Amino acid sequence: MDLLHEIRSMIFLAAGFMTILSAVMIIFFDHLLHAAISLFFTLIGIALLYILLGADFLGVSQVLIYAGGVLVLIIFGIFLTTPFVDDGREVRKSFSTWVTIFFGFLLFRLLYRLIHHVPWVIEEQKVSPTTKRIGEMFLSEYLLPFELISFILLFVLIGSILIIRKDLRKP
Amino acid sequence: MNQLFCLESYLVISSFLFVIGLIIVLTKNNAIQIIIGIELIFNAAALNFVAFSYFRPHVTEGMQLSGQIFAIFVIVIAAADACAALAIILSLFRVFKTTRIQNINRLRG
Repeated sequence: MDLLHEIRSMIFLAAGFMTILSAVMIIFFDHLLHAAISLFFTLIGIALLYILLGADFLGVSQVLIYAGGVLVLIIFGIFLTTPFVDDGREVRKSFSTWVTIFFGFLLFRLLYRLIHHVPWVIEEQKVSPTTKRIGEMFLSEYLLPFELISFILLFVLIGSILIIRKDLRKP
Repeated sequence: MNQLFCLESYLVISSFLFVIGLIIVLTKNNAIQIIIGIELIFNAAALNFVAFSYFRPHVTEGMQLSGQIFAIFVIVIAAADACAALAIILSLFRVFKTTRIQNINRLRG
């Protein structure tokens, strides 16, 4: 059992470092495709963190929806919008960027001290497979939010098709 | 080594992701990079939900997984958000021939 905890801590350390490092690299990449690939590693790291918390279904759906769906959408957006003729170099890291990073660091420090200030009452749950229970809860207690979110998805899809199509009134 | 896997470290990771996403949204000048920052903020919120649902004290039976279900809702909302935002960006690119938000400065283009 103790060895199991050690292994879990080491996987947690690796996943956390992967998430944080690749998230930091997104700030410093100017090329859009490099930022998207760095986002891929961040999302995989977050999926590992979910699985360590006993959320197996959530981890798999994170990989499927984010790394498979949203990221491919973003990469297609990059391919479709980056102009073939390069309009000048990317804007260099200006003074205001470093000021923003400094204030972001201050905000993180504040949150960090806040987290370590609060006395959390902690009791770990037992890990068990969650897929069946999540399906049952979707069809019993969370039925109304489930239906509402399917309507939101439908409306968003129709709306983005309406936004993206060519204007048919013009000849 | 056992103290590493605890609620505080999860909260620190998720607050770090939130701050990174905020910095990206505030400093980048390409609209697609701003979408990437928004995705990071969504992920930080979902990670908080899942961490609190795992480390929560005295759960009643039946409410055990509500944090994970809220995280699934967050993922769905984020996917819808990215879809709509990319549609808007593509139609803006059709008019302005750029995705840099400093150059997009008029309505009814």
